[in-house]
Amino acid sequence: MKNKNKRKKRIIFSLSSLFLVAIFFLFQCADFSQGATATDQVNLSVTVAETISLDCGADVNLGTLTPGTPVSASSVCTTTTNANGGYDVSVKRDDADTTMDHSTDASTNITDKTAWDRTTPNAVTYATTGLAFSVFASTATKNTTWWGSGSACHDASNLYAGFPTTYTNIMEHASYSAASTTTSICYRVDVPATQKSGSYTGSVTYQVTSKP
Amino acid sequence: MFMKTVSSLIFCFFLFAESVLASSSANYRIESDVIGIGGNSSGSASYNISDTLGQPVVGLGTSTNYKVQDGFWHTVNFSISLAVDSHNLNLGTITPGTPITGQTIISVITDAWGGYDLLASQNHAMTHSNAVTTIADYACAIANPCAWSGQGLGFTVNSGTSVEAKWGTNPNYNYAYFPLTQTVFHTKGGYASGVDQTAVGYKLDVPTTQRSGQYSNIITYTAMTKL
Repeated sequence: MKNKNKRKKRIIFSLSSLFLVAIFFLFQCADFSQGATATDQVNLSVTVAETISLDCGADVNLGTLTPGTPVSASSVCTTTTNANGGYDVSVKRDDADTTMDHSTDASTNITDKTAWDRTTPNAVTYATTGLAFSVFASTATKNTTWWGSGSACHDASNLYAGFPTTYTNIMEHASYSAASTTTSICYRVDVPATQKSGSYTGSVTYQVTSKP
Repeated sequence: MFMKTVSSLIFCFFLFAESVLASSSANYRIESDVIGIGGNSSGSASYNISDTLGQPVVGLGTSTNYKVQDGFWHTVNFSISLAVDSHNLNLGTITPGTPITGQTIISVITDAWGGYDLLASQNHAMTHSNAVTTIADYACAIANPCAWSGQGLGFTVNSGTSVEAKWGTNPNYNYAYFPLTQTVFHTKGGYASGVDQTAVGYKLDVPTTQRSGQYSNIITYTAMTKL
């Protein structure tokens, strides 16, 4: 009986020791190290190029003109660009002497109004005769100092000028536009009673220039 | 008597169990080993844990020519270094609709017997000099890179040791966006002496409406030893 108790005590002692040792090492296990690390960086950069496109639609027919009664028609130029600084629209006439020549006699012309000069600026209310244009609307930027406060092609508040011989800005937009923007140009013409009858044609070229 | 013997054996087992940690030189390497009563390695996509139970002999022993670190993992002291081939990478000028690419070579040296993980993150999406406009991230995540389609900034693993199949192969690489937090994108398992290089390829395209100008961000790469 005495031996049995002694044996029992030894078992309890051994199991207790084993338990304590296991607990000790269990706590030790929690002391793991983190993995070593090393770091470096790359400064990544890219430049997005400017893209720009222009569409001024179909040819414009001003119809039949009775001398003394001006006629008007318009073009809408649509510009699509991602340019950070916006864009400019400029125009020039393509013929050296005047914009419009008689179709069978190039020496017979329709007189142009005084050519547009943005530095003056020199657009005026339309009067008497000659071919002129005005920027009457723009979803980008319309300069009312240049072109008056009119909002339609026939608007009496429009200011007009003749087509220049070299590219000259007619609209200047100074900010980025995510969507396409439009610039509307009105053509207006009248001729004297002595103007030779017949068909007159001519062309002007619009140009858009992106800005960084 | 029997129980006494068993108890003594168990005690001895604890007493003499020990861990011999990795050590190496240019020509030799002693593999790590452990004698304990338990332990395992387990992990998830982002974390790993290795544990040992019953390893009573701990400490540092040194002589003129040798050093031994006995004991638990807390004595482990791996070294690792990481370097990129260039700290400034200009991808050039991109015309919207025509993707451009670039590459960074990451060089890692480590003595970790388990190899290492490569992690990457960006501080923010590529941002215009106006500090507002950003270039979108590529659509797919590191967990599931996908073939190039569409726009954004993406990256892939062009080459390296044991590159994961998910990154694809030339010319059909798969791409993922850079996350904002450090995320493992490549694991190089096992020990290797010398430099281990991984080539990260960048690819970028933007929509036609992307505001023109210069964009930038910072990519951070981290190498972490594996136990």
